[in-house]
Amino acid sequence: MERHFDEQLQALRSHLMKMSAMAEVMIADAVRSVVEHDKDAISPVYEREELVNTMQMEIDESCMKLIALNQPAAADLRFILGIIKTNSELERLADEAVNIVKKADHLLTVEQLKPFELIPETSNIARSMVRDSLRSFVNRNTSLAREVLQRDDQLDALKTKIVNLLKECMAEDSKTVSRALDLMYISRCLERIGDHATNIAENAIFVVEGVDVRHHADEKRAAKSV
Amino acid sequence: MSDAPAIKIALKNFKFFQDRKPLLNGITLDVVANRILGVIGPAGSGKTTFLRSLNRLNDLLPDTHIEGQLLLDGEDIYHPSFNVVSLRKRVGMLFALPVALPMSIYENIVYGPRLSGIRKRERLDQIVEQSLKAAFLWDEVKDRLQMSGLRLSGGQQQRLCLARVLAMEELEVILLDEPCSGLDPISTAKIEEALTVLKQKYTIILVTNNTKQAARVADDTAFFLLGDLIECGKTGKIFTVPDDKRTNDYVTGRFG
Repeated sequence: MERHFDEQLQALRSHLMKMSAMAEVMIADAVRSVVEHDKDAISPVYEREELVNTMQMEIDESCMKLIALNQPAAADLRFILGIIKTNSELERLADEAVNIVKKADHLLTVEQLKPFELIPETSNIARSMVRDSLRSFVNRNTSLAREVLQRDDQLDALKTKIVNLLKECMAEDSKTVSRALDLMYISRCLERIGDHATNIAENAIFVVEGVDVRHHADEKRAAKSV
Repeated sequence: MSDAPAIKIALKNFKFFQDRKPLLNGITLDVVANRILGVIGPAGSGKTTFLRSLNRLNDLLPDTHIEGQLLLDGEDIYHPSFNVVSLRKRVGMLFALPVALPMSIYENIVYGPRLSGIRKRERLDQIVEQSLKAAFLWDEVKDRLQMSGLRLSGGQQQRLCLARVLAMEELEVILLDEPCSGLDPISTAKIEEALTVLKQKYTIILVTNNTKQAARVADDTAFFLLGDLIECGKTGKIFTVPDDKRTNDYVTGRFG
């Protein structure tokens, strides 16, 4: 039986997809501004942030109405909860894009330090995690979601490597401190982007399977039941 | 000491037939003592047949027979030696429409206890007060106990019927068949509130078409479909992560 409620859920899903497409573009632009020294990529990030903020509020309002008026259960309830949580992650992703372009302005005017070479690889992983986590959420693809979770370790390792190299630069030459701190900040932003993507992938698994995999809760639960 | 929950009622491959047609297809289910079991399912799923089997009300239907076992505290209630009158004192029932007797509120309550042989006025007064309090009706009627029960509102009459069930001293299990279907939200809330308190003393089985009511009140929920028990589990699980797709489709309103 096709329900009016299903149409409302579909509309909500479309709304979230639009927002996620926008967040994805913002991150792509922010990364391009730094990696490719592309100044033109900076201002669209600021412009889109406003739109993402508005969309976040609209999606939250739709979810609240759907819960209040339909009292959803089971898969429908999990889906709406997943949307609420993913909505918040998308808004934070957009904030990270803004944080990156804030530093890009300065970085584009100075000579890059050697660890900068690792930024393209780091940003590629972060972007792929965002793209695949959103795809896994929208397409209910939990194996893709689990792949995203694994990629997070790779991203964390790269970020730690960059930070350590930058520490060495600063120890050798104090003139590099300002540039090194900016790069550290950007690598931290990229790592956070990966964290948000991880959260979205975890939401996807919760929505489809009803299993909470955050903080390895599923493994702890399994160990307890043995 | 074992931590296993006390099983009040146990069905073991219980089948019920009417006119040789199976209405319940081999139900195996444990009903835990002092909990509320919500029973949900679309029309024709067998939930009312299940409920009426528990105090043998189905015996009154023509051409029926059962297979399997239905145990109350380990005793087979369908065994020929089992006393049906005593069963119905232990397992009381509340129906969808309140059936207040055409007599005073007081007499409505003491009707059962009198039949059981209680005569002392003091004891009967005590039963009336206790039962009406437990049914959350005492404060509304304590000054007019001699008024006809039929003059009460629908919601009050339903609570009067609940009080009448509670007046049976031997009562252990309360069966409710859509007890709030004709009631307004406030009256419904009062019945639900009463049930959550009553489970401390009784085992409660609530058949309802209102899945949200089962979600609000029941500790465990059983989902029936076409005479089969599809799934039974903690209510929190059934309404968030049910195991069976059919349960998911029913609680999300996709059919039924």
